[in-house]
Amino acid sequence: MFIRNPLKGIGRQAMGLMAAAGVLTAPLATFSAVPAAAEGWKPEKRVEIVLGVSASEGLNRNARLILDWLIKDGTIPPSSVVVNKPGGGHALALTYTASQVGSGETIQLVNTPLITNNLLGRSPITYKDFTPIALLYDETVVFSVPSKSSIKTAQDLIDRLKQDPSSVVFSTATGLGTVQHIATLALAKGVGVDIKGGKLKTVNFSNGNAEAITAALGGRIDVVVSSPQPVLPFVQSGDLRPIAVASRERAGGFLSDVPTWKEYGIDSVIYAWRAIVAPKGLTPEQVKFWDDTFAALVKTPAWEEEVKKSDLNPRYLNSADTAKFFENENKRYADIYGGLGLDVAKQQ
Amino acid sequence: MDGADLFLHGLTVALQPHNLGYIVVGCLLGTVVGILPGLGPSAGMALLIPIVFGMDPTSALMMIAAIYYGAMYGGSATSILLNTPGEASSVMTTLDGYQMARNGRAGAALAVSAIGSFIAGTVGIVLLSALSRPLAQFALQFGPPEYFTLMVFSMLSAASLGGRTVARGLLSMLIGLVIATIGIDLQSGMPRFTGGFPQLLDGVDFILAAVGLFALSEVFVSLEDHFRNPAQLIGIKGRLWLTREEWRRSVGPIIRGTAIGFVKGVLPGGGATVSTMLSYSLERALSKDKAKFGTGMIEGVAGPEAANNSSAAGSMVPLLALGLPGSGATAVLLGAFVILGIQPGPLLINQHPEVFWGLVNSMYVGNVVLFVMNLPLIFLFVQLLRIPTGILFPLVIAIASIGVYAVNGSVFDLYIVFGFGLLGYAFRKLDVPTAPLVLALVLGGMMEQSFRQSMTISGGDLSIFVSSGLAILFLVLSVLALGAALVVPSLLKARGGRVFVEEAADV
Repeated sequence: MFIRNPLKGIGRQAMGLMAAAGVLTAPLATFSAVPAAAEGWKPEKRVEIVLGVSASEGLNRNARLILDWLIKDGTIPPSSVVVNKPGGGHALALTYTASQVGSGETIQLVNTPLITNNLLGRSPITYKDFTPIALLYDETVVFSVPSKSSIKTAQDLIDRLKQDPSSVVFSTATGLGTVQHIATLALAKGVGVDIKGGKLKTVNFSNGNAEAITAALGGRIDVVVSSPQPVLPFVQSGDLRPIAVASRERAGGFLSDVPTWKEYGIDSVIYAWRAIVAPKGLTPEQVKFWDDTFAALVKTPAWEEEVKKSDLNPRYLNSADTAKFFENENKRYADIYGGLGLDVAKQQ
Repeated sequence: MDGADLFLHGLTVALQPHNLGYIVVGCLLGTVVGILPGLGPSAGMALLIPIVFGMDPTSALMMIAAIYYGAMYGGSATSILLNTPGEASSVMTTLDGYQMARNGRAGAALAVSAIGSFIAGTVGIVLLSALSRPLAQFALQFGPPEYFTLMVFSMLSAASLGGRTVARGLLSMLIGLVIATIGIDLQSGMPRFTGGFPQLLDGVDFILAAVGLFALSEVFVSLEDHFRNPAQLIGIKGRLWLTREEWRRSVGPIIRGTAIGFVKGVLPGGGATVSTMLSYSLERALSKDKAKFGTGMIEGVAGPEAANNSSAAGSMVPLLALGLPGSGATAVLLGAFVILGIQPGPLLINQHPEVFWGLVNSMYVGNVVLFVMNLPLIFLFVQLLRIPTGILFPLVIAIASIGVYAVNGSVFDLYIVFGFGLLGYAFRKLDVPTAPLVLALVLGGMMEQSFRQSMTISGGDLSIFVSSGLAILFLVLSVLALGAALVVPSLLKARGGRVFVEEAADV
């Protein structure tokens, strides 16, 4: 029978909101008790949460949830909005946010392109053009094969690559230098494939991972390299089988039985992270406001549930640590690109 | 619970008063989105997603889907009346639809669009509800090589789209292919020919080219005519409705358009637009009066308008049965699922039957709503033709600008449209057809990517393009299309075909 349960999603969200409100008001209330913090800055105008993807993508859900939670507990004005500025792999949105120098009412939810766009020569804007606010979580890179493939396990894939690297076709996300692409190159390098010799086959599809999964189910692609969410329904239906993750340790959720490349002695460890940045030129009070806001947000049960539900790995860093993190990541990616033969950065 | 039960339950869900309300709102919004040039269904749906966040998923999806197919109805109006494609898949409708309006048959063109849309939409949904699973499996046969050969076929069948000489048509198409290479290259991830403008990183949206080349250049040319010899307003001849003769000529194109649209809709890539091109080319190829296409042939309106509607229904097949969107618009719809907390995929029908069947049935309801809504609009729309030039032209420019600006909120896009307007003016003065440029812009990027994807998969071996029956089929069809394009005109010329040359120039 049909059991319509329209409030299922809303209910969960509402419960989350109540919890968020409860936990968030606690630290805010404590500030007001401290005289210095009572005079602390708080956004008066509407806050813009800038996003480099269109309203239809996964990242958008995170931004909307953050917006919802912050408005409901009174942290930011009710007129605040998520501003979608899709284009150029976050480049347009980053340009916009960077131009809002000194505005405490603009923050952006961004992922790895913050670092990679510049290193790959796609954009003159670097992570140094922003005030880091927080690192929120990171996403596992998972390798999946169609269930009917003769590749059944990670070891099968390693064997196939050793035998004849050109017999395996990988699909990675858009373009060179994305985390999926790096994970694939690192795997091939670890197996001993000459990655500069043109033997390794990585194909890119537009339209996110959907076209890649279509091509894999149709037998044109052997291995789909992606984030967990897009492959989840196909793993559940038995059409795809996750064989390995490019993580330090085994991931949770539906990937808990999937081995890491490290377990096979292959150094393919990389994550897609997501962070909050603000423009340059913020006052210390403004930075402190956002720093405190996200420190409190990531501790709410609603946040934790959403992260778990989306198969993300919680990894919170505060403003100061995020700054150090970006610096390290920038160096690490530059090294990786150099080591993998993607020496684009040096040509710039 | 068996299929029929599920189906009927879906219908009761769709007919619940609040859901009916959302469907009507979605249809209205879709019609508006369709009418506004530039603002197509993808952008329209994306604009609405923030609003539905937190709504009941079934109702929200019904409303968003209604925008999608509603836009397919609305897009024809501006194409026919103002030579301005209201959205991408109405580009082909401008070719003969606008000429019909100039011949005084605007009412008939609008009517045949609405009728064709209704028939095709309904048939498409019947097929969607009956055959989702097997069709979705068929779509999986389409990998990069099949897709590339399909693109070759589409391109070659479109290459014969008029122009004073074949060379002029090819010139226009080549310029389109060149423009199609602008932007981040998907395979390498590197920007190409962007001149340092971040706005060009995602390439030039072909709807900008279509609005500029068709609408603005039309305004410029008409403006010039107006000052040289003030033109009379276009009268409306005869009945607003279809004549018996027009009925007879429309039936075949609507049926064929429905078939082409649905099949193309099920297949990934290109969306509804490619199906309208194929339908137009087919009708032109089948017609005894090939030469008259581009001068107001009702077949050239009926076929494509049917095709874009059944294509919208067809594109729901891979989305709903597999969770795999094949076009930009269905990708946005997929995004809506995700935002609403439903993970679409092969298990959607089992895990959320109320969403699946509710949505499918809402499309039946929506199609009836749109048909009823559009008929009186025809009489309203044709009044537009009575507007004096001095008001109409600024109006066209204003509507076009608003529509384009609304998509990305980018002034840069307006410059591009204006640039295409000037280019279109030059093209018209030089008798170079503008349609091939727009078509090349649609197909070029996809064709290049599927070629390079194929080459990577095969390791540079061209034999991948004859490695499957489907790919071979499309290659054979391509050869036939090329043969027809080269042989038929010379046969016509041999039979004193000067008429063809002159009449086909006005594309």
